[in-house]
Amino acid sequence: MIRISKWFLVLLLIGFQQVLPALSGEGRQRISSIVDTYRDVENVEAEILFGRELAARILGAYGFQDDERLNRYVNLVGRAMALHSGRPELAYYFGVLASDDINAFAAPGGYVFITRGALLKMENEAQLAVVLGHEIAHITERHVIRELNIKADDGSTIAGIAGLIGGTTGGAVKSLEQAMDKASDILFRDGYKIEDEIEADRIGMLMAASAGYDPAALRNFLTHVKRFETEDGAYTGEHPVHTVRIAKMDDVLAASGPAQMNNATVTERFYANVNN
Amino acid sequence: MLTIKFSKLILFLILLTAGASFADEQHYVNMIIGDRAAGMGGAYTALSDDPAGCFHNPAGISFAPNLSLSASVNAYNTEVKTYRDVLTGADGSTRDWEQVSSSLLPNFFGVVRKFGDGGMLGLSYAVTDSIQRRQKQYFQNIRTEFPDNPADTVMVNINDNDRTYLFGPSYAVRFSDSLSLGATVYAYFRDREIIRNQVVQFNQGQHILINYYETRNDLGVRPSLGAIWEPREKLALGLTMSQAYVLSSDTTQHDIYRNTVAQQPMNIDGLSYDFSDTDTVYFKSANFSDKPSLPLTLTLGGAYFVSPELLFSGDVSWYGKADEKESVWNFSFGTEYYFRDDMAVRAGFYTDFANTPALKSGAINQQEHIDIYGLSLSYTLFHRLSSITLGISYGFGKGEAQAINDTPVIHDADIQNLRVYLSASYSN
Repeated sequence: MIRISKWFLVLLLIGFQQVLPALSGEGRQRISSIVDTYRDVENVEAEILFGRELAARILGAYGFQDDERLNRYVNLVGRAMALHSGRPELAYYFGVLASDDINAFAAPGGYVFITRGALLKMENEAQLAVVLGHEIAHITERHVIRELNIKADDGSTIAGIAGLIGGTTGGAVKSLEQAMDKASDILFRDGYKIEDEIEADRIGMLMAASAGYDPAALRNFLTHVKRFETEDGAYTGEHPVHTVRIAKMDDVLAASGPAQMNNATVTERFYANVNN
Repeated sequence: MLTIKFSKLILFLILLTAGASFADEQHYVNMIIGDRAAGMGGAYTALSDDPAGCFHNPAGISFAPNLSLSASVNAYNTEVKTYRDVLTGADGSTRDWEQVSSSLLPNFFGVVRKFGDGGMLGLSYAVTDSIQRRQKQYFQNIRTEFPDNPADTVMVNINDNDRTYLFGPSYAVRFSDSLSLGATVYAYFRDREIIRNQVVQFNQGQHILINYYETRNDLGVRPSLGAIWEPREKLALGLTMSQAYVLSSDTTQHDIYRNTVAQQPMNIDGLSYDFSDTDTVYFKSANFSDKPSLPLTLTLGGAYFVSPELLFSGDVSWYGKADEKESVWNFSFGTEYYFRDDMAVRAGFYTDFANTPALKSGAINQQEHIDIYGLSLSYTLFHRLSSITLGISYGFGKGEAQAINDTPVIHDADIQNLRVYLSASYSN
């Protein structure tokens, strides 16, 4: 019988470990667990805490539009849309950013922002609703959360995010900052994956239709702002492939019933609240 | 069993009950443990990231979520083993002899949860083999060695129960993001009861009566060691080594025999029995404590995670020699596909080759040799943190057997088995 020293095994193991690549374990993860984890209470709390921190960064970067009437109006439209979001465990907050860029942002956990510049380029309430719906869909489908693999505590990439939020140790603060940096890069620089954008478009349009708005408003708005994109380069980060997205929207409109519902666009109320 | 030197006629009639195996000891893949594993044909050594990993590869449970629980609600197993052309009717037509087993039982329960720094603790229960036969068989007008005295009725009653249980703890540790080691120590328990009655009623009034009763209990331990290495993000390799050791075995056998068709006194176990005397009955009671050997098993598996929706896995298993059992290789391949976030289908293919040698012409009392090939399919519906799985597997094999002891006749034989199971899982 072959006898192997236990110390040899230990040394072999340690040596072996040193040459192994560091893996995140994401390859093994199945789609069912990816989807289901966000429904767990602790993971939802982690998502909200993380989103709150990220929302603070967004506000820090753009500033809050100090217009109570405008913010109230955006919140009313946004919350009407959120009723159709399918994630009742989240409370949604909407705010206007003091920026002339044409953009909108979603932070995990229910935080949605739209720039003053985007509002000024809109032509009706349906466009506002469907853009907010698009951002809500980024939250409901957890695009940032999935991309960064954020969970409460499962040994994932950003392990124990709930603990990190309140963490005071150097390691915890650093890990949280790294996670925030990655999320900020997605929102401000790299954008979402194109399939995430297309998914958000589709869900946003269906959400708008459910709320009684014209789902084609998103297509109209994107077509409208595409002209400005070529002028000032806005949207080049977050909304990179308009042509593909618009083609996909046409598919959704053609395949889905809401396109024939002749839903509302609500122009007068929009202009009454958004001072163009 | 009886070791009687009978005439060919009498052997034929008696050994119908004796020649066939009581339990399926010729195969090692009698029941695939775990809902996900069963759906993928048992190709699970590199996966094992749920409570079923306690059985397949204990290292895998370290990849399970914080707390996972899995239970087979019920598994229905049925097996039909057919020995072809064993009986010959008075008109010359041949008849097959079937052994049918069916059982309904929960065959797995397991739970794993985090324990210690980087560790995962598991506790599981598994039924790896279950045979339950309850048969009443009648054959009429069977040809015998006496042309003018056929058997009007051959009646065979079978009541076999043979189950193997495993129960015990597991522990796994992640040494790094890509390497995990684990161990399971199962208590091993095999409980077997065989009851067989046979009555042969001859046309001229004589009869043969056989009653065989056996109980057997084996107690032992089945340790297993496992490792999982993920050299790439989408690739996992697993290795498991296990062997069951029987520490104590207790077998009791009772034989009762009477034969009024014998035309002269019979010599059984060195004693003369004259069954023309109506008070003469052969009776034998025996006890054994011989401990059987069980094989060392090595399984190497690989899994490729194509995407969060699709994976492929494969296993190669080697079973060593043990007692009269030959060493044997088995293979399994499986795939899992999520066609929706909350719905998955799994499919697999597996082999279950016999651990016996091919039968040789001219030899007697050889063990049957039937190689089995199987297919599996399962459907899982996920709801939040739980899931429910409905699965089915089907195995089929052809081979040869000697259904009659002490004769060199080799019969074609085939096996078909079907398993349907329902299981539930929870993970957090």
